[in-house]
Amino acid sequence: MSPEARLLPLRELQLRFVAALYESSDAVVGAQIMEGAPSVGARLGVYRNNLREGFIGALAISYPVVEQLVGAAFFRQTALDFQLHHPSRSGDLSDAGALFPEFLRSRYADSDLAWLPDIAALEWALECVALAPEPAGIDPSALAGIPADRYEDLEFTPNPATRLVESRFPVVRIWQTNQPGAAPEQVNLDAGADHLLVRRRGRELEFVHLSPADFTFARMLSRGTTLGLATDASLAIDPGFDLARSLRTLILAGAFVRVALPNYRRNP
Amino acid sequence: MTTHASKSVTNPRPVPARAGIGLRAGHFSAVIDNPPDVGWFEVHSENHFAPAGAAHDALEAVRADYPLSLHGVGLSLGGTDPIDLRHVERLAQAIERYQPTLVSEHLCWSMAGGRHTNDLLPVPYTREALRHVSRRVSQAQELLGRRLLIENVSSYLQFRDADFTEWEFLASLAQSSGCGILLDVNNVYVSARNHGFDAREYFSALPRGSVGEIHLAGHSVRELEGRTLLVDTHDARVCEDVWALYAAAIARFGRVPTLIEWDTGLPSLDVLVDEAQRADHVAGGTLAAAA
Repeated sequence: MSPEARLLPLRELQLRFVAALYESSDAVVGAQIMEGAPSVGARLGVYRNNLREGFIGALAISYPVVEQLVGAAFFRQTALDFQLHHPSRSGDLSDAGALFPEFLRSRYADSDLAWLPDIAALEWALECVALAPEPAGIDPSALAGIPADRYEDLEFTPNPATRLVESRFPVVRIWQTNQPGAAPEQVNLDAGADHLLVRRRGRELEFVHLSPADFTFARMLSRGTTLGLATDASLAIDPGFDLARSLRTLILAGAFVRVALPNYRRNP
Repeated sequence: MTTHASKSVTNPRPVPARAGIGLRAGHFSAVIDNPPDVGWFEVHSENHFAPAGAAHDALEAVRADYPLSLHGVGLSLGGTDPIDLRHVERLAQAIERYQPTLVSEHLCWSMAGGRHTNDLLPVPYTREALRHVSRRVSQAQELLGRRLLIENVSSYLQFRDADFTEWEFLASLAQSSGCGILLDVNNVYVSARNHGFDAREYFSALPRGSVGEIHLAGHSVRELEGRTLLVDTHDARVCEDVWALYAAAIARFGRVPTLIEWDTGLPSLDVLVDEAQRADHVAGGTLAAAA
């Protein structure tokens, strides 16, 4: 930049400054900064360090079990790679880890660490559930008065204080053995799959283990699929699927806060 | 849990001139088990956006016994991306839920082009930036329906071609937007040392009635390329130079509500209470000497 050139407009200056921090390039913004000792590069380095350490620290708060399982050095490097692909988009840094399970899945789904993304998904589900409002779930009587021939059109609204998590690995066991104070234990990765409804009741976080068919049923209903279509999908997984028993299990687990019949009008 | 039937029935209690302390997760149980003898508490707004969980439970308990301040770190008021209306909404919900007496943000920016740094980045002190930040502070105050206090940040670099000093910029911002000033005495000291200006000149440029809150904290001294750079780390006791500046600030601005901040390497709660008591002692002594 020639000496007489003026400072860039604010918008351009800020875009370049963020690029200088994320892409570790002093050149794009260096000429905008007053020189002095220490150098412009060293001064930018203070902000670059804040950017990295703040992000790693926030991710470690959301994913303590992942960090414990892979070790601090591996976790740091993975967090920095994740930050480059998925920079924080929120003024609340605790939001930054939302895509971390999917990032780990894209890297490790076909590796020896295939269980790691599922542990991350479980940790994120627990955090979401811990911080969510907890409206009362519906009870089985909510279905009374709905004509039997209209059941297949019913739609359910999931409870924000619940999440559904599935893994072909025993993720609950892995998570539990890595809690503070837990006795070290060798977990057999082939010990079986987990199909979970994670929920909060008051201050308690709980795991409700579901059958594969019940899990599919719950997931489809939570995504707004009608009861009829969700039942068909669950029967395809397990011909012995028992609609009445499964629905009662999910309702008693507090999975839903609302059930509705679209376009249904009661006759006067 | 307290509920608020309408905004008119609950008047938040005033923040006393006595010193308060920043409340962080590491002290939740200590504060609830043995409520300390301090004037008030301040929390980072973003740490309490969720309407449930340990942070929510702790704040509900603490605000029943103490006046409260919400101090935001993520609104990017100096930024040129559109203001994040979801963030504003979450802040508004936290204000409605916890009924703080004071709400503050920073004279800084944090994101551009959708990438957030979650840091307090310095604005250039230009006429263009002053117009922009003033509009943004006014916009935030209108959206939240209340006056904000805006805090000066520590900085480690200065942009070229400034039209104003930082203190001229801050005083103009307060005048044009109607915001109050949260004067962080440690940040003034850190920036004064890093950029070679006189902290007392900074104070004398701010109108006497404009400062609604004072922050005190510790910083780190880093050696970079054989030169000293001070970094605002909130990981130590307030240094002696900053205590002296605090007395100068009290002499100019009066007994303004003062807060002790500590974020990294949190010590036992007693250390923060001790710092708050020293702040009360310094402020009381300063005003007694002036009387």
